[in-house]
Amino acid sequence: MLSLSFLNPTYLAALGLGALPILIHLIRRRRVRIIPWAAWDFLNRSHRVHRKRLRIEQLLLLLLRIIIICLVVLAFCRPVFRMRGMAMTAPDARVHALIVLDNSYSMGYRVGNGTTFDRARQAARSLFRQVLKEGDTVQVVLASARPEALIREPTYNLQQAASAVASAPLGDRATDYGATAAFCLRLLQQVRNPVREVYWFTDSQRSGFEPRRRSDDSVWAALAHAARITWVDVGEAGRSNISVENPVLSRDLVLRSVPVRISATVHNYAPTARPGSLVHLEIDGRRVASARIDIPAHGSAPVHFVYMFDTAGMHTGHISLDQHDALPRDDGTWFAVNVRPRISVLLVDGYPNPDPARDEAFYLATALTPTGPSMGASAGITLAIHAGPGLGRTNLTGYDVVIVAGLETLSAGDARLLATFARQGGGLLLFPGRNGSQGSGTAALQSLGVLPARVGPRRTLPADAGVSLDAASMTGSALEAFRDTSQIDIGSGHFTGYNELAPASAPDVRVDARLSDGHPALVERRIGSGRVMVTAFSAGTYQSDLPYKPAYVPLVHQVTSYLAAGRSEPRLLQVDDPIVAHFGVAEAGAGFVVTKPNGSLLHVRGELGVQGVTVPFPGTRSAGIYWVGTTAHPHSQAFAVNLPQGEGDPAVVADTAIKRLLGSSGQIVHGGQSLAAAVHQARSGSEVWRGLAIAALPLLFLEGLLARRMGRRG
Amino acid sequence: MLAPAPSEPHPKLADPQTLARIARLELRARVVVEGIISGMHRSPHHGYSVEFAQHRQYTRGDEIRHIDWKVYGRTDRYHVKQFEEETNLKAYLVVDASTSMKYQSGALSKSDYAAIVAAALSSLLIQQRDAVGLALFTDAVQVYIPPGSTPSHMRLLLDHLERPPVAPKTGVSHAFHDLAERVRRRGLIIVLSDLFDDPKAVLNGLQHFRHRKHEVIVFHVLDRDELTFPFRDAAVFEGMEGEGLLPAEPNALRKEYLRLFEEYLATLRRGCREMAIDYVPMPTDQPVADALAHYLHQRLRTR
Repeated sequence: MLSLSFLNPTYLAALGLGALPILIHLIRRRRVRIIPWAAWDFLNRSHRVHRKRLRIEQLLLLLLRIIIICLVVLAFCRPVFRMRGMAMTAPDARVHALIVLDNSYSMGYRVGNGTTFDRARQAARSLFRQVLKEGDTVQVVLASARPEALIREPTYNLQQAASAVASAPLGDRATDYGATAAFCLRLLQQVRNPVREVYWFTDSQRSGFEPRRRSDDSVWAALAHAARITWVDVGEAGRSNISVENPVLSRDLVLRSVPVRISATVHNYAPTARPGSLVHLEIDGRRVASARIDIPAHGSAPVHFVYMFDTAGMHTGHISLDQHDALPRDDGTWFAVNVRPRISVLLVDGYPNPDPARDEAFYLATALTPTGPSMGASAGITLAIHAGPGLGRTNLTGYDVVIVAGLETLSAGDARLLATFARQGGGLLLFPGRNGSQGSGTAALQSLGVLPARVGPRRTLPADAGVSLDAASMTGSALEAFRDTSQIDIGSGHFTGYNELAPASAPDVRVDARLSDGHPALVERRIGSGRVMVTAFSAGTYQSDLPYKPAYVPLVHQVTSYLAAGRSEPRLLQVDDPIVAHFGVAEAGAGFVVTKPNGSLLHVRGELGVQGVTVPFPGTRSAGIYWVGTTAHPHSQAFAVNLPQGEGDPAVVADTAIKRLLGSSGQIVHGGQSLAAAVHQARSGSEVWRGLAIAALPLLFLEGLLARRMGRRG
Repeated sequence: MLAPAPSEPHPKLADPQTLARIARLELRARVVVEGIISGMHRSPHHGYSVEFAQHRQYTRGDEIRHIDWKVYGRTDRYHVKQFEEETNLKAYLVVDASTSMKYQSGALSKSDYAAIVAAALSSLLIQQRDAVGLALFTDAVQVYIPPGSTPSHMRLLLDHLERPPVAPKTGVSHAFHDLAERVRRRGLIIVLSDLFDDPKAVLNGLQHFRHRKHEVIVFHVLDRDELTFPFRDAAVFEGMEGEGLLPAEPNALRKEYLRLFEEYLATLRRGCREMAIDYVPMPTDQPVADALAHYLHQRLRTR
């Protein structure tokens, strides 16, 4: 919206001259001569013919003369148009400028010899040369999902501010315009100078406005009210990008010599498809596999690798495109994995039976250690079996997973022990027995909030109306691998009876699998850092033929390794996610260091607790592999910090949407425009007297023509 | 019959400015007539009036004074002279007395001009022993004086021409038809008017005269303003015959006005030509004697 003001407003009074033609007309009308006329008929007829046209022409002439006079008078008044709501900035007024540099990683898009961010810095520096002057104050903000101030306190030192802008770093964060606007508003509220200007240098990325928060509109409105915003779009038109995102390992707990599927998603933010794109997998800095994938236009494609770690311990990986594009930063994604040599499992056999065919634990033990307990190490699982109801005096320390066959055999004391075990990161797999809904242990686990679902009575089905596991219902990470039934048909086993499960109504409860009749088959709950699962079906052959099916062994292994992962720290993080590394009590006295992706070391302090030493590190500003360790062994634990998803999408938001946010005083300046000229115009408005004078000329000419036509000059 | 010899009229005495300074119509007419006569090759006083035709033998009842005694001396018989009366023309001056004739931009109004022309023609005709009548009309014949040729008749004509009954006219043709019915005997009709009426109706009225075997001469008396519409500034025009007021921009109207006026004149000229009527335009800024002499000269040459 524009508003109008005048540099010579006193001349506005002369607009009254616009009434001059009317006055002259009226005076002439009063002084007009009366001529007696004999040849009346001819006069009257000629008048009648032209009466209408004459009247229109007279009115037009009158109007033209009024307009011409008004235009000339207005030109003398020197009108100035400027953005509504903003006072004009006098040339000598002191201005406070808040410079906002978008340093999200998408600003690293290559343009010519530099990047979009280089452009932004260059444009920002031109402010210091051409716009800002001595006496002005400056603040500098880096805009991203976590905006931060490069210069928080308004400074008069323009040279220092210019240097800060010149050396501003490009970040790995996502864009979040709303968060940055709120941050800027807080900074500006501390500025006393009423003449405030915000210069926002960005690539106008659409993802920066998503997700839209309810408070955003009011923040933008307040910011636009507090300062005149100049949005400088330094982005390149028609950008395209391919990004590799979201690395996923098929197992939460990766075991040595056990194959693991490593996947990632490759996004194509371009209007053309990329068939046969080559993607590489690197493990510990060594390329170990490659794959070709077809990426559709404006779409994505998964890439999968199967890899088997032959050594236990920390490993890092990188999935990357073979060829870099204009935004190379997101052409790859990192992951880190702690490969365990084995899992320790305690199997509690609630109903030991000399007949193995009737012993549920027999099938579980066989599945977990297919070659017998002595050979269990080759499957990565060390199995111990406790036969008899309850835990007895079994020490749970050192076990990763406890599997209970016959839930109802547990005592209340067992339940408390298991609850503690789970809260400390252990995994619990609970199979209800024939009376699974009963027993003090079941009730205790229920009351302790450990059971993911209330175990209901047994439901027996006719032999010919059995149910099976529904592969389609397996959406959780625990059983997701079984959704694809082409290799393993998880639905091949049939149940003629099962316990009805009523999942607890808590946010951490999830149904991982359902039976073909829709009833929950496997319900999971996270408790502390551990995981608890309860099943509706028996682990053995009671009302089930699942143990006879090929899917049984992988199911038991998958669930066990999933439950065992509770003891592992999350190692796939995003920028700004905190790292929390755990060390044993033995490391209590040691000094700890964090090695950043760029190789720099940072000393950090560990916190001693019951479980050992916890080393937190919140400063994951950059994507890449972070190592945490003691000063003696700095590369003990690895964490992969990845770029925020969606930031690779180069789509830009429309100017109209931006303008709406900037308010009436705001303006958008694009790359090709002169920033200094735009600022000057915004500050002082546009003088239009030349336009008015030029407009008066053709009108004058038209008046001459019309007057001549009407014979006034003849 | 009018039969002046072609000559240049007196330029000074007969112009409208001079005539305007002369108060009496009789004197104005005399000036014009002298202006015409001064340019003629032979005097209208010679060879006109009564001419000898033949002798015949005296019979009882003949006037003794008509006996030609010279013939008696030679032949010893009584013979009387027989004369042929040549001046038996009856002319009717049909003069427009409507208010539109009062328009005046120069020295003379149209009615003044028409009166002078009428008076001059009367004078010329009566001097030739022709009888002259007068009809003053507005939308009807207001005054009708039958033809006469005596000096006292001349005086009567001048009196009426000097004091015409002024009234608006609504139609010339009506007056013409009225007059055509009144004048039974074949004669010369001389119309002096601005003829501001529907030209078809005017021509229809003139046609009536021709139908009665009259010879018709139309002196179309117009002011120079009416011919050129010379006004520049905005003005309010007031109809002289009570039409009302009309505010107008003359410059904007001139072209259309002149086109309509020229169309009107052309219609009249063409109509008169077709009816063998002499159409004589008479702008009031033209010297009266010039106009008359020029016309008479033309007339003599064509007849």
